[in-house]
Amino acid sequence: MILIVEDDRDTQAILEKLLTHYNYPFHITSSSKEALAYCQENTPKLLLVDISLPDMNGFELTKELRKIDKMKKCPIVVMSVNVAELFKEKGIESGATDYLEKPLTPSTLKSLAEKYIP
Amino acid sequence: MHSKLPSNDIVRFPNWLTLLILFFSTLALLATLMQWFDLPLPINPKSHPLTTFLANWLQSTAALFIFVGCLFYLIVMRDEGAAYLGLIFLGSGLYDFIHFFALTTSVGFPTFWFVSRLILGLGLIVAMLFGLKKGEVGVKSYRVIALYFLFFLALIYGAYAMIKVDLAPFEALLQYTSLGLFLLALPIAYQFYTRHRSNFAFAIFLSLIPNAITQLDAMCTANSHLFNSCALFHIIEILSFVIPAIGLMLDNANFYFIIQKAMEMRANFISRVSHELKTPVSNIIGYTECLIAGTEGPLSDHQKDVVEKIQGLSSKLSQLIGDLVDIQKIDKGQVSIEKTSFNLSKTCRECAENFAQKMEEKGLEFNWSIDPDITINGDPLRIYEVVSNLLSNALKYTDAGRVQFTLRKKGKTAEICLSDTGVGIAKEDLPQLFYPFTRWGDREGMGLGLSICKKLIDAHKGTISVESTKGKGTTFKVEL
Repeated sequence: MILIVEDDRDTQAILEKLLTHYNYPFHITSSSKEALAYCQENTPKLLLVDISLPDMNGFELTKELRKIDKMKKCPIVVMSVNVAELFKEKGIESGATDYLEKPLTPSTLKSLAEKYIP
Repeated sequence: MHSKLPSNDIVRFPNWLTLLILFFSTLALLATLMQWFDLPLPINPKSHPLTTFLANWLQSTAALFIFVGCLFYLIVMRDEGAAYLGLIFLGSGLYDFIHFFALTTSVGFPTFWFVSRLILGLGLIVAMLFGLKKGEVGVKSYRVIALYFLFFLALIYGAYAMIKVDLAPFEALLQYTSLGLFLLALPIAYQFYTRHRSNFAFAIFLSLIPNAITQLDAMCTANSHLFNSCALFHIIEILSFVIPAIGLMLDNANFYFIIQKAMEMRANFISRVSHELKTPVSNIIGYTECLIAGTEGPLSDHQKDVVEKIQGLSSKLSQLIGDLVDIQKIDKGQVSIEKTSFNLSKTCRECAENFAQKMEEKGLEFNWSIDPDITINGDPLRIYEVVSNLLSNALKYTDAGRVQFTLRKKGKTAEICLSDTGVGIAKEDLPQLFYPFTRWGDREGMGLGLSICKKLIDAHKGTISVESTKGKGTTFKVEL
């Protein structure tokens, strides 16, 4: 299961279309709070987290998620429209696995899914 | 003075300074009144050539400052009224300086005192009335300044004429006239200040008080036959030039501050706007990619062609917005340059290979010679950005001929050299080349590439230089 944390409706729709097309199961949440609640109940195989979220930013969410035992090793990919090395460093500090520029191309999405979801 | 300044965050004429000036003026007034009634002063301000010289020197320097400050006004704010005020102060200050020679050569020179005072009193009244009448002192032509010069010339001739006559019978009259002018100027200056609300306007209003007292003091000393103890009014007179100078300097400081604010706002505006633009553009690319990937069913070749065009254009747009963000970040010093030892040859080769096909498509001969295994300290990603930027410029501006790309070791540095047979750049345009938003001819782009290159190379402590002949081609050299 791929968990998408993204508040922008269009980005949600794009990821939804692509993941449906490639036949990967996914769940969309649009706030950090929902994402944390979801992760308490379920164990997603891969997380796609947007940097700018309404309640807390992607890095803070990643830190919170890492506090949950079963989420310690889960791959978390942080996405943003802004490519900046600065953010990259912050992302690594926060414990994110990878950092990607939006929009995720279909091929990156596919290879991510193939890599983390056997 | 003639533009409305925003009320917050700017420097106002300090209250303590106003109080200090009023305090000194009161003291001077008291001393003057004591002289009037022939009371002995606790300190007898006997005139001395040195004090008089210093006083005259100080006020003419202040007058020069005012003039320069007013020229700044004229140039920056296109306010001719300010230039007029500046000329009045300069003229008055210069006459006052010449008046110093009255101490050493007795003939005629006291006249210049009256000329100086009349210019100041009359000139200020006329300037401020002009301002009141038109709403702005700045009129749309240089007529005011021309008028002023006529007035100035008339006074010079008048002064020379007066040298030849004995002033004694007119002296008291001239002193009274000047005092009258300054007192008349007071309400006009206040009106002027309420209209313009600037430090300069306020300072002019304030400076009229010591001006009037100076005049009063001069009259008293003349009346009480103490003409030689004229040190006091010379000292008070300094105030009447220094106060406007301070006011003007504060105003100019405010302009600097406002300009800085505007630059900051522009920077924030660009970074905000570009961020806001980036999200929808990235979603357009996302949707087109969905279409190409076939999430909405298979596309016909024609449909695919169109969708790919949309995607290409959106990517270009996204790249441009990215450049704007980049240049803003480099300007603010927010881009971190990673310093690692990396293989420059490999980076350059990758970059050249990327461009080889595009050059071929355009029918250009593309030669590259890259010395193997050159390693330097720096940020490979950024250097790649620079090289690909230069290559894409060469591609963009060359219509026929060849592009030569070399990398070689030159002493301790590595030199990247890129020459093309493109449109070239005229000699007079070269200095602007590395500024943002500079571009030539009809080629597309915002002209940010080279300014980003320059900033990135600067951040690596390298140099980037250019040689070009219009019509023949351009050579860029980067040393790292």
